[in-house]
Amino acid sequence: MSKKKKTLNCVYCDKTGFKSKSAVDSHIRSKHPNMQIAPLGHPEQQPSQQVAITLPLMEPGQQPLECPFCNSKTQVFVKDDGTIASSSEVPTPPSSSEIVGGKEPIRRAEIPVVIDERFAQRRRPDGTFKNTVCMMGTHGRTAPKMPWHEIGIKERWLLNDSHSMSYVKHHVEQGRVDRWWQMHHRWRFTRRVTRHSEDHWTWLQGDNVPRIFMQRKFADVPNSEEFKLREISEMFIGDKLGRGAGYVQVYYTNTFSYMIAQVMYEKKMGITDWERIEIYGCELEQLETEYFRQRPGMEWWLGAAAQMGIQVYFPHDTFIAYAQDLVNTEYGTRMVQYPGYMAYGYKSPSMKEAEEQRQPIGVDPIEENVMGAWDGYHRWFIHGINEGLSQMNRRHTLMDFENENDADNAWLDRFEEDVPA
Amino acid sequence: MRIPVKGVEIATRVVKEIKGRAADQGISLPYLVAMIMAAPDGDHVDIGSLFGASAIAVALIKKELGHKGKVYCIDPYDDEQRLKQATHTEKIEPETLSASPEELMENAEHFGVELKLIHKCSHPWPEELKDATFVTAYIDGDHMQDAPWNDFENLRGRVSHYISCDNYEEEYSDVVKAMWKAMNTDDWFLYYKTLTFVALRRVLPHRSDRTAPFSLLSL
Repeated sequence: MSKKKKTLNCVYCDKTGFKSKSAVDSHIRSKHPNMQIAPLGHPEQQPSQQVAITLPLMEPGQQPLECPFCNSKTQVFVKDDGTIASSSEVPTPPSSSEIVGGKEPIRRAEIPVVIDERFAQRRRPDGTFKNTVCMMGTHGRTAPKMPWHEIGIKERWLLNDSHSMSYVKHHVEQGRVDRWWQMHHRWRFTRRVTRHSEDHWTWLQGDNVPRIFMQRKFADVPNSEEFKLREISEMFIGDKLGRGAGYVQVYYTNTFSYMIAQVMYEKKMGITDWERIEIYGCELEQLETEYFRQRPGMEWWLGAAAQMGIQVYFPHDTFIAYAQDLVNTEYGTRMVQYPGYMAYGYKSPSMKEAEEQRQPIGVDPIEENVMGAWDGYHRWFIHGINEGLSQMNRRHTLMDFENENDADNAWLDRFEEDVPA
Repeated sequence: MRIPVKGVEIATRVVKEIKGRAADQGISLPYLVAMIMAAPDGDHVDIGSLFGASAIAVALIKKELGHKGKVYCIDPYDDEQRLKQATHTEKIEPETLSASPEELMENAEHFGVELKLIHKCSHPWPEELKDATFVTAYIDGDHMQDAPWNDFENLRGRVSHYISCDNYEEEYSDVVKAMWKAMNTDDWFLYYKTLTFVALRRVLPHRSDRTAPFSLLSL
């Protein structure tokens, strides 16, 4: 049995029998040149363009969905009646302060002895604080160590859509971020659902952070400012990084590269005499994109900033500015810090490794690792454990407890004597 | 929390020899000393010093252990303000609160310790200590309304190890409210609570982070 094929009609002259929308458009162009092509006609005028789709029953709220037309994955907001909300009907997510009984974000921070050292490093010789900018990325390894409340920090800079992260959101809402960085293309930052945010684009357009650095000033992002790409590139790359017959024009392999360049620019131009950069939540360990593509440029800028007299600081377990190695573990291949390669030649390749690999060994094998320890590097920190907890958990005997309890009880007995019977 | 014998000895000596009043007969002093013993070298700040019992106990244990660091006292020595505190609870007799900076310094001299007095209110934070950071702090100043919370807010970003507070008890609901809120912030956590004394510590990295075998290879 043959199935009768649906045809389309022209909404201007009621001619029927068109087999496709392009045929209708062609007809409108030739017969009705002053009219709109593919007009958004009233449903009654264009019943053939209405498509009814039956979707699986979904719970109200944000739900993942595969588009029935193009099969791409998307997210929809399902209303209480089971229908899908239009964009204007999607409720604004509540701020973290409005959530009652919501999931408590996991609390993590830096080790107290490191906080002491951070305070010390931020000081000038006269005891006042250096002009320090703290930058934060989104890598969970070190982002929670961001010093949100510590004194001695002039500005805090964040990037991309991290404003919606559970342990970042309330800091942004309480005005603890001075500048935001969104250096991607417009097609990218206008997307609705991004990695950490449900509506990054709306957030960018709001008055959430006083300054937002972007590729240019966007009229619909009132707080946006243009990153001075050409001026900064000519200032710091210009004739300094030669390649072949000329010079490298740009070398910004991730957003942090722009941020560091901006710090250098402001220092050189006398806008702010930046003296220290602290970077948290930036690891660039993902091999294909981050490690190979993004890390080289960023490390180049870090070196340039340090040579300009700007101190650069990372948490002790950060992968950036440190030699790396890959090891196979039961959980798969993992990146680890590789101290042995921090002084190539002095420390690695080691003779032990060479022997294990049955490589030839030359004469004077005792001249191994002659670097030794240098005075004044006592602050170098390896395994951070809380000194207080360490002392509390120190080895003791039961006799210690007995003595301490006796003393404590004797002390408290004094107060019980004062209590009337 | 372990209460060291040394802490009890120091508290006993301070209570016996101090000229003037030690808060609640010094009942919290051994627990304060225990907290100081757990901290490393560095400065300490004492808010609401009165005759100096708590600040002197801290200075004595730091001296005993050879811990470096100064002990700062912040107190406006405002009789009117003290009277307000005293009338809040019957157990404090107003005349025992009329301390002076001179009496604080006399006590410090008697015990052979050095105290740095900032003769001001703790809020707004004194300009002299604008850039100061501390390893430990003790709050025992204004107990009313927003004052305990303001003291915590002023300290949270400049103290690296422990913040303690006295009078965490039913009679001082504003103190309880402030410390409860403080121990639920994203940077501070409950360390221990004994009688009326409460100590907060910094939120730490997860234990699994601190011992992660892949965080650093000893190569």
